Amino acid sequence: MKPQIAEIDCSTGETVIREMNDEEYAQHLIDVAAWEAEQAEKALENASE
Amino acid sequence: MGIQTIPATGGGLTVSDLIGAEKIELIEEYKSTSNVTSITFSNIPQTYSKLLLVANAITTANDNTNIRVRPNSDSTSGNYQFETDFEEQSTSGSHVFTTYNSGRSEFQLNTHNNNASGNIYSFRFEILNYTTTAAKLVNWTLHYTPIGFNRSREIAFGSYRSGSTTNAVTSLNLSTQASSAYITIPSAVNASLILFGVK
Repeated sequence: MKPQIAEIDCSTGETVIREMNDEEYAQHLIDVAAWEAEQAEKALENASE
Repeated sequence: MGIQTIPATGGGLTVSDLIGAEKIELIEEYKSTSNVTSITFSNIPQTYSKLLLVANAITTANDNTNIRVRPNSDSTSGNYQFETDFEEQSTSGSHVFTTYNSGRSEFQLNTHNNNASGNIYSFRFEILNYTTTAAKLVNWTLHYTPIGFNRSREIAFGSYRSGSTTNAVTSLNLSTQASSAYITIPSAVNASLILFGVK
């Protein structure tokens, strides 16, 4: 099951809560991987200090 | 000139006289108890001089969880550059940090703490000249309070200037960087995520 997201359309005031589509989920995984790489880098820096 | 008397009715000072001609208008407010990983304001009206995003919310994320604001769903690396200052207070004392980053694909409201059990946060995020095709200027402040006692609290503030992108901002996406973290806007305590336009 993909993560849930909220979308608020400012032109209509409508709020929709839905599952990420494939494109959004692919970007989400890229963002998460980048964040995890940053955390791993920080952990290495901390270990070497 | 001396002290002026303000008449009770008519001709007195207005709020605009005291704070300037700015007029703040509510664009949309989001309140929900649903756990979502991101919240997007789309079709943002292009009729204001700047945008103000104000949040009181909770994230379930654990470690070093930055709050991320991405305009226009554009994930191009290097879009934004920024500098952040942190002041963190924990049981081990007070610490001050500064970071600079020039290669982000989003505005990143950095935090430095490393706590478990989720965090309560509030922030104020302002984008100037959002309708123009010039570099965007952003100012923000963030207060981050981990849930539970004896954990570090944090106040952070920063400024940004957009780098390689100059597109007008028509949508804003708010999320955290952790893999399965949620942003929760608990209506029970009147928490909310509000987008204002400033004229």
